[in-house]
Amino acid sequence: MFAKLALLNILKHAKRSAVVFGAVAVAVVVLTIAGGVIRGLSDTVLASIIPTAGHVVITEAAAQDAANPLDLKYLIPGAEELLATLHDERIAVAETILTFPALLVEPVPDSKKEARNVGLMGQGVRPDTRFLSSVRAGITAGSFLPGGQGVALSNRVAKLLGVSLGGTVMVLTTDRGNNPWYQELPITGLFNSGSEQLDLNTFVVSQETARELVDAADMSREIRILLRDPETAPALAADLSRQLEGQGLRVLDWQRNFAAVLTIVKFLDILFVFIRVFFVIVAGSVITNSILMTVFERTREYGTLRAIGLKKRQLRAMILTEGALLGGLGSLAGLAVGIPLVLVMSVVGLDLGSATEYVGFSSRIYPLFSAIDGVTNLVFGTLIALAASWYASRVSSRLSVNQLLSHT
Amino acid sequence: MPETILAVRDVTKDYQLGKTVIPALKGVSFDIHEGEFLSIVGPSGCGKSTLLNLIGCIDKATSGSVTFQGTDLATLNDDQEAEIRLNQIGFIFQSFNLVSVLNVIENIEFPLLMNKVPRAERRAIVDHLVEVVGLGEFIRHRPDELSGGQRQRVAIARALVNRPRLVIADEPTANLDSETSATVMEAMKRLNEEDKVSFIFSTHNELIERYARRVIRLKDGRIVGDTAPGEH
Repeated sequence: MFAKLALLNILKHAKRSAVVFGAVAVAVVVLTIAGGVIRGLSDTVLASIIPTAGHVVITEAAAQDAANPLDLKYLIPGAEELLATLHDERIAVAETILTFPALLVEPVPDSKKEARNVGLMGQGVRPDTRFLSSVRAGITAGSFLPGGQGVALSNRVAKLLGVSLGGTVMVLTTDRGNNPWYQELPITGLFNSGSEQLDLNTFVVSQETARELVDAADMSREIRILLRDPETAPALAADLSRQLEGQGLRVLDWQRNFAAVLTIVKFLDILFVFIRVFFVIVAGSVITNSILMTVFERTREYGTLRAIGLKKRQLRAMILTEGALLGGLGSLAGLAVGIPLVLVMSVVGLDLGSATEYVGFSSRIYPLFSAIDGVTNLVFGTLIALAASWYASRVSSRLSVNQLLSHT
Repeated sequence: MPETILAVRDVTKDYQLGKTVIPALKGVSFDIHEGEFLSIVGPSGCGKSTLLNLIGCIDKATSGSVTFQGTDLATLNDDQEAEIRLNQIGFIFQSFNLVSVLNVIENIEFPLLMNKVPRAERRAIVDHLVEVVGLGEFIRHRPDELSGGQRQRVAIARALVNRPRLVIADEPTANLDSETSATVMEAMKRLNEEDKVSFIFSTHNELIERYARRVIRLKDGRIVGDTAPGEH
């Protein structure tokens, strides 16, 4: 009967109920979307950027404090031999990678015409590399270094240079002896990685090609390691540091390598807590006010029920039942709107602009919905309404039967 | 001599309005016996509703005692008071005070639900009372679909549903026309005579006063007469 009475009262006081219902629903929609975006940002870092950059990275130690850490004098000699010595069951994938600065130039047969050019970072990788997943997955034309041949460019760089798939591009570098060198390479793949920074700054060749271009046989910029369990990275980094001691190498785990980005992720988590608190205050105020108004309008009715034998705690339970119903239904409605929005955005993506890339994220974020977030928001919305109802029920139950009955 | 079910002894009730103390009752004493059909009469503001509220466990006296079936009501906690209002004393209000979102049956059975009476038993009790107060055709109607007299008969049925020993009615006919008032009073009198339920009701209508077998007259918070109707 209490549940029925609560439901009937909700329907009878439809306008006020709609305010409470709407406030809860809007709060849950916003929290679901905000939670999805923040989870998407975190996921970009934890599931995309960090695995692409490696859980553990080995580089030349001297590069750390160098004015130009990309100088070719900071390559690891005998990188392939060193790679072969890395045996550890915690390691899933280990690869050498040669990063080098280069100028990509449009090939022009007519020397009178000025060739377009753009300065980029070349990534020399194995054709079957497990890294650069966003590039491999983002190939829109051609394929990723077929047979180790050619060069993969982003569509945006290809457009800047006026080149296309099947054409060629001149790759100009200076080798380790500071001698200029170039190769004209066929364009075998075009990609959209989803990251503006990556698209505008990176091209990919095979490591063999990269070594030829910079005259660095058997040398690499770094050894990237992916682990079966990312949480073992600090322990493995410490073990490898001991193993490679005296070789002038530096071993860095992802927690230290991405400390700044991880701090931002933690900051976003804290920010989300503040967003929740904000909604507790704003939505809570609206809901409390509406529930209080509804309760005050029915003070005489509560007086009647008390006069015919309803106990104080039963009155409180009745008001709380109403709040729980409104909060629960409002939260469900909020989830019914919020979850599909997040799911659509998780496919389409959300462009947050290139500024986000300077703090370590990609410009296009793919929000993620998690069931835990859904349950948390459902409980959160219901609790706001319950807390407001609890306050209203306390106010009502403090009055004596006579005060309730004589309320005008 | 019938059993005394209620004893009011030297009861006073003061209301505080800012710094002003307004005495509503000034030392009222009387007894109510089983099966009585008693009327409290007097002009507006004489303390009738205050006295009924004290007897009905709705308010507390400033001094003196109200003893119901041997229990001093002043000693009861909130839950015990609610228990008495639910099972021992029925209350009928001047303005009916029905729950607007519930229909006739639901309004009447609400106190039974608070007592966790099984559904079948509930239905039998409510059906009987609906017949007694003559509302058989209106069981699915909400209060706003009923006339004043019908609403008051729903309120009477609700007051009787847990078989209380005493029913208090605060000016039950004040909002009704004379014909409907007579119907309501007849219903109350019949229940008093057939089921031996004690009734105490307030009125300032002399025609209604005549239904009572005993009349207590109040004036300025004091009892100025306790007689059979017509006696002075």
